[in-house]
Amino acid sequence: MLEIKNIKYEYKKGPLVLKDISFEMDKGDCLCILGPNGTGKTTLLKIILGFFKPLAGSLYIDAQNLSEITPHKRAKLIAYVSQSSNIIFPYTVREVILMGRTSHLSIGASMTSADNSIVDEVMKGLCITHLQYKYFQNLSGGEKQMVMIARALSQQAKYIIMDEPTSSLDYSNQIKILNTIKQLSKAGYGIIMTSHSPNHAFTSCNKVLLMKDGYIMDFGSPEKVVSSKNLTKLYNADVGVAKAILDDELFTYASKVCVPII
Amino acid sequence: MKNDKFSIRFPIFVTILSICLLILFIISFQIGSYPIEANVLLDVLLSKIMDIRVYWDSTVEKIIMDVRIPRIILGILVGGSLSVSGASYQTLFKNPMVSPDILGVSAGAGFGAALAMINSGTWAEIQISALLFGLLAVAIAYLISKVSGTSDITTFVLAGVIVSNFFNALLSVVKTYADTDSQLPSITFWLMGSLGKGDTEDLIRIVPIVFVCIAILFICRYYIDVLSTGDEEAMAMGINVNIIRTAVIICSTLMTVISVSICGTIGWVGLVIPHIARMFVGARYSRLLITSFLMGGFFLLLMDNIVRGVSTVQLPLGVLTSLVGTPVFAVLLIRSRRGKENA
Repeated sequence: MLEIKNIKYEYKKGPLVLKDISFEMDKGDCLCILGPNGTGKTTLLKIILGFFKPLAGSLYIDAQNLSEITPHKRAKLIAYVSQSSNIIFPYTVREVILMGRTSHLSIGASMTSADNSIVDEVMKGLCITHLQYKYFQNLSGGEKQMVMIARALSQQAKYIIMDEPTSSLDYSNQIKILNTIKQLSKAGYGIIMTSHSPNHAFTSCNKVLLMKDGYIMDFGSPEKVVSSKNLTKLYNADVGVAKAILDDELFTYASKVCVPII
Repeated sequence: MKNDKFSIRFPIFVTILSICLLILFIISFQIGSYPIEANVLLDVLLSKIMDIRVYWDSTVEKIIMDVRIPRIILGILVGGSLSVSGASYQTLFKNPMVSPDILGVSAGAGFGAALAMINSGTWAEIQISALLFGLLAVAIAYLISKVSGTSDITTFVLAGVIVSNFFNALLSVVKTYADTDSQLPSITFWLMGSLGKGDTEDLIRIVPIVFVCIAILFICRYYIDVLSTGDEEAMAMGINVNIIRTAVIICSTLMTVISVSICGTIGWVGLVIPHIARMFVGARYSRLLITSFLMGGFFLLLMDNIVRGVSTVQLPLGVLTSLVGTPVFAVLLIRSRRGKENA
């Protein structure tokens, strides 16, 4: 259980970015945070990851206070997939994924064959074994994102935080990543992701948090929270939510979709 | 599909490099105005630990023990230290164009040495002054970046550039006051770098520092890899970024400053060697550390042998490393750009 209680945060000499944020989620949940630019989504993620210290409030994972544990221990609880990763030196994919094992090393120790087999397993699970000896810097955006997810998985933390995991990807890679996220939450990982596309809430998440001006506007299941009324208010623009029922020669599928009214 | 070529290549490469270094080490004794045969060298060295009948001249022993050995080993250690510092800074700062003097060490040390020289300091005083001002320069750069309130590495590097320029200006001031007959030439020669002044005491001073620093860097090897992906990602992977970064900077700075204080500024080694090492063994820091040290030691010893071998004029070591280093770097640059296009 990840519990966030009354988080407040401000940048140096600036106004409050996060005014009062509280929510809970469990392992196996996939939480999508939606909100306009500059509303504090990324800030919230960075507070959960411990990059910033909140002005007030507390964070718990399984009743463990996150502000009282070392970065080393925190890394075993939460992993991070950043928006885009920029690795300058020619590390191979395998080496990059192996970096996720660092938090499990004791000081001065070497990586063992156990660490290597965890990497093997993770790569196999995500179907990226064929990339292992390629240079990370030569991969495509979609492949890079998969490797970043693999690195987070090799960290063996139960919660994974993803900052706009699909932001710079083409359509097919977006679908691939969203699908992976769904599979991971089914496998028991707790996932928090931010997104600029409210449709992502329907495709892979079971919880949605709407953030505006540093407050939580609404929180709950996508069916309940992602509504025409809420989205229109959230984005200050006319957005409707429609039912999509597919019944053609290819698919039989029912979902909801968000439609901008222009 | 390529195999992981570096895992296979690395042990072979290190073995070859070690053998080359050993051979060069032995050859180095032959070079100079007083050549020493290999069997005499071996006997002299062995006589220190075993009972061997002395059949050689005492001058030979003196040259081997007091002149050649310090100079040769210093060459290896200085070359190795500068290269390892360069490799560490490059990985840490996520910038392949960084050299060990990026934070102002060399400029500070140059000023310190010059200051001691115009005050007619002894060799030991010159060294200590170079050491202190080298450290002072980095400390000032650190303070500037601290005062700015940001903890990001770019500020630190920029502060290093500022401090470097400031100390270079101070150095020019000292130069204008220097006596043009004796002090100015010695300052100029110091700045061009030379292993000629190193003695056994320098060796005794540098060995433990280099050993401890490299040991600490080796312990941090995985953390340094992780730091090269960025501060936030490193933090999320459980690294205490500030502690590791400080440790790496302190170790690299110490190795650079001790090297510079003994042999003046020697350019390009710390920048070029890590690049060549990376081409052979990949980016992983643990491999880069070992390879850079061996390659850097080999390179500087080779350059110093050329300096000693050309008897007509003693070319300054720092000038020679730049003369060789720059074209090598140009070739590397062209190769890597071409490689990228083909990939």
